[in-house]
Amino acid sequence: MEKVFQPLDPLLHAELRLAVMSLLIADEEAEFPYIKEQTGATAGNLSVQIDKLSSAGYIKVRKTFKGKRPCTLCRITANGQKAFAAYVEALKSYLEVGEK
Amino acid sequence: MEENMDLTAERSLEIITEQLEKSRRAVSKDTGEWLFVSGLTTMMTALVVASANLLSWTPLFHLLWFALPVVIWLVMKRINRNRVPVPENFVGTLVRKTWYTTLAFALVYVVIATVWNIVLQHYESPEVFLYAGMHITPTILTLLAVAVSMTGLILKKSALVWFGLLSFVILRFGLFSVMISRLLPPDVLGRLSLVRPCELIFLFALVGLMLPGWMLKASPQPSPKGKGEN
Repeated sequence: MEKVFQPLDPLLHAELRLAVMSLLIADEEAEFPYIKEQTGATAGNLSVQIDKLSSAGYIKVRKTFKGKRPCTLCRITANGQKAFAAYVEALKSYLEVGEK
Repeated sequence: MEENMDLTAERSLEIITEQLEKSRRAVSKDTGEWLFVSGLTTMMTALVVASANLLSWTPLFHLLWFALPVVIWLVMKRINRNRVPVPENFVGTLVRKTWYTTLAFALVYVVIATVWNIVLQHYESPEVFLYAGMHITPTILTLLAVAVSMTGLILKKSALVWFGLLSFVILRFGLFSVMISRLLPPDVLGRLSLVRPCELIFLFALVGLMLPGWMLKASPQPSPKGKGEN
C-alpha cells in the first residue's frame, strides 16, 4: 500500500514563519525584539512574515507602549495552535517515510 | 507552494526543535541572572551583617536580612531596564512557581520561628530553648537548596542539581563550621558567635546561588541562523 502524504500548510512551511510559530507555541506572548533576537531575522523580513501569519489568523499582534516606546507583542491564537499541530502531524508522515 | 520547495521535512523538524530549545535557553539565562544577582547580593549582605555585628557587638544588624529581597529586586530591575524581556512560558512558569513556593514557605517559617524562639527565650529555661527552639538558617537554606536542584531538573541542567545537593550537604553536615572551629582560637570563636550564621549563608550563596547562576548565564546560546525570506 502506498503511503499517503498529508499536505503541509504552505503558510507554515517556510523557515522564518515556522521559526516564529515554534517560538510562540512555547511562549505565551513575545515582544517583537525577542522574536527578532531568537530567529536572527531582520526587522523588515520579520514584520512581513508576522503580517502574513496575523492575516491568516495564526497569531494575534498587539501594539502597545512600554513607557514612551512603542511595543509590539505577538501571541499565538487557537487557530494557530491547531494549524501548528496539524503541520507537525503532517510532517510525521514525511519523516516516517524518510526513516524507512 | 513554490516559495517553499527547498524546505525539507528534516529541516522543518530541526527549526521547530531549535526554537523550542532557544526558548528553554532564554529562560535558563534569565534564571541564571536571578541566581547570580541573588547570590552576589546575599554574599555581600552576609559580609555587611557580619562586620556590623562584630563592630557593634550586637546581633541587631541581622534585621538587614529583611532588606535583601528588596535589594535583589531593585538590582534586577536596573539590569533588565534595557533588555528584551523573556516571555512567559511553561518552563519559566515552573521555575518561577518553584521559587515563589519556596520563598513563601521560607518567609512563613522565618516569622513563625522568630516569634516562637522569642517566646521560648522569655518564658522558658535555656535547656527548653535548646531543645525546642526552631533552627531558622539551616531550614531556610535547605529549602533554597531544594529549589536550586528543582530548578536544575526543570531546566535540564544537571550541574545545577548537583550544586543544590552540594550546598545542602555542606550545610547539613556543618563541615564549614567544623573547619572554622578547628582552625580558630577559642576567643576568636567567641567573637564569631555574633557573626553566625552569616558564614553559612555566605557559603550557601556562593555554592548554591552565585556559581550555578554564573554557569547558567555563561552557557552559550546557539547563534541564530539567518532565516530565509519566506
